[in-house]
Amino acid sequence: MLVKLGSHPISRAFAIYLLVLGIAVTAGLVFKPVLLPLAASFILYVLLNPLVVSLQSKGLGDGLSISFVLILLLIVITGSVVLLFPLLLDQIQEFQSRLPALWQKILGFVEAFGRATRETMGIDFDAQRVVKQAVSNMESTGASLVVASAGTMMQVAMALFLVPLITFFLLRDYRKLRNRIIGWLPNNAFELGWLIYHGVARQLQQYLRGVMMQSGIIAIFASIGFYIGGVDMALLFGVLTGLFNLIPYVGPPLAMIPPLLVTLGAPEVSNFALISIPIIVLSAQLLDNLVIVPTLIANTVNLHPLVVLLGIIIFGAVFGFIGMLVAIPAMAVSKIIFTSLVYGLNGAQESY
Amino acid sequence: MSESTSSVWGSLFRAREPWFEEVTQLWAKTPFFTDIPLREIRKLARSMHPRHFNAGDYIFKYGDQGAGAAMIQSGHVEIRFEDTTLATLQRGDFFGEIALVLDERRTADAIATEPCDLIFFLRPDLEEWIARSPQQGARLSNNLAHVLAKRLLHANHMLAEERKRHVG
Repeated sequence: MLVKLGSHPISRAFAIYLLVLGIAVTAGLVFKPVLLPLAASFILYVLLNPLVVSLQSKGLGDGLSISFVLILLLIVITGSVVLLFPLLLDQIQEFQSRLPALWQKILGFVEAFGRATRETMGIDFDAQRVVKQAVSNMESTGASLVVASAGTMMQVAMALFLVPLITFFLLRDYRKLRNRIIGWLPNNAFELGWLIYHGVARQLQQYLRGVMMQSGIIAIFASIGFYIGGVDMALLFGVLTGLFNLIPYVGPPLAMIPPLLVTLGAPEVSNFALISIPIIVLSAQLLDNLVIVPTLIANTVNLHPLVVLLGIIIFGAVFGFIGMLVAIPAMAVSKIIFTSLVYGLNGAQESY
Repeated sequence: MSESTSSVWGSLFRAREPWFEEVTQLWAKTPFFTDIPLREIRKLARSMHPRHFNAGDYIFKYGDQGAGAAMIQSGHVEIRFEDTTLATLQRGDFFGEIALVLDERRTADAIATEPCDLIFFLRPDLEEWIARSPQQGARLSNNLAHVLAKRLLHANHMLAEERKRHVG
């Protein structure tokens, strides 16, 4: 069947890639209500499975290994919910409560700037109108963000219940399910299908583990840095820096904006905190580029900088901020699947 | 639950018991699994892949990328190179074991001469098993090295015989 799809391996790989993409999009639409817990469970499966395998290699039974890892996961989730979530929510609320004062301060700066330009250069610049327009836009965006975050909280609550359950079944049954699904391939595509699946799965798992650890390390590093630097809401901005780090080139400068705004909007502006923010974000970038990427991510995915930039712009334009976050992982996954298909089909092509 | 619904879920999640018990016994008799406990072989057999081939079907062709070895549960298989039949294999025999070690192309054709049930033991299965049971995995790797070394010795003897015939 694979052979009939086209004569050239690249055209056949492209056809199969489009088929896989179609299945993925359809599955995404069907499972839309539970997409968040499914994605989180799959990521947890990828992160936790090596731990289960490691326990099994020490002689622990399958059931015991999975139970042990799952209990550990529940402890971490409960700990996060009890300790970190309230802290993060407090910090988000504090950030929102500080916004009006922050806008007033910015308005003051811009008005002073407008006066200066009028007096020195004679340019009439209605700064107040421009800023008021911007503030009203930002406030409406803020209001919609609050509504959106309330909906997100419901999703998070559902995810907290579903994620451990789905992760348990993935840890227990994923290999059986995978074997059955690949077993549906016809005899002449069975071995090749396995080889392609194995190549894709191995690279994807390496990449996902690498990216998760990368984000986590940057978040911890930045949180500690912000805390030492005396930046308010250090944990919130640390986690944001870890997330923004998923967006190459654009992410680090964006990560500086919220802590800079909050520090500038504080009743007393701390110069030490102001200076420490860019230093911490740049240090996190150095740590990322010099240590984390070479050791954790290495050459798993090597995307051209132009492709990366275009991808971020296009994903950002179509799907907004979430699109910018998932742009690189989505392109990386696509590249891994496509190159594995070409590699696998190339072998098959040469043998016929 | 209706029978059809049940069979869908059964097909997805449940292991079909009879084949892997029989397959465990068959693999246990091969040199691959010398000194490896039956319960470990049973665990591994559960992740193997049963396939059915009709008479005349190619199981693989010369030059195909190989993903692993296959053992015959029922039927007969011929290993051919061009027009020469290198071996005729039957229930309990295995072939294609080089692909358990190397990511290389197949070096001969394998053809089902009658309806065949085969059990595939793939390289990813072996790698996963070594990660989960390193001690038994080391034994199996050692056994695999013995099997391949014997094949190499046999090939060397055949080459030497051929050379003698040509010189003579």
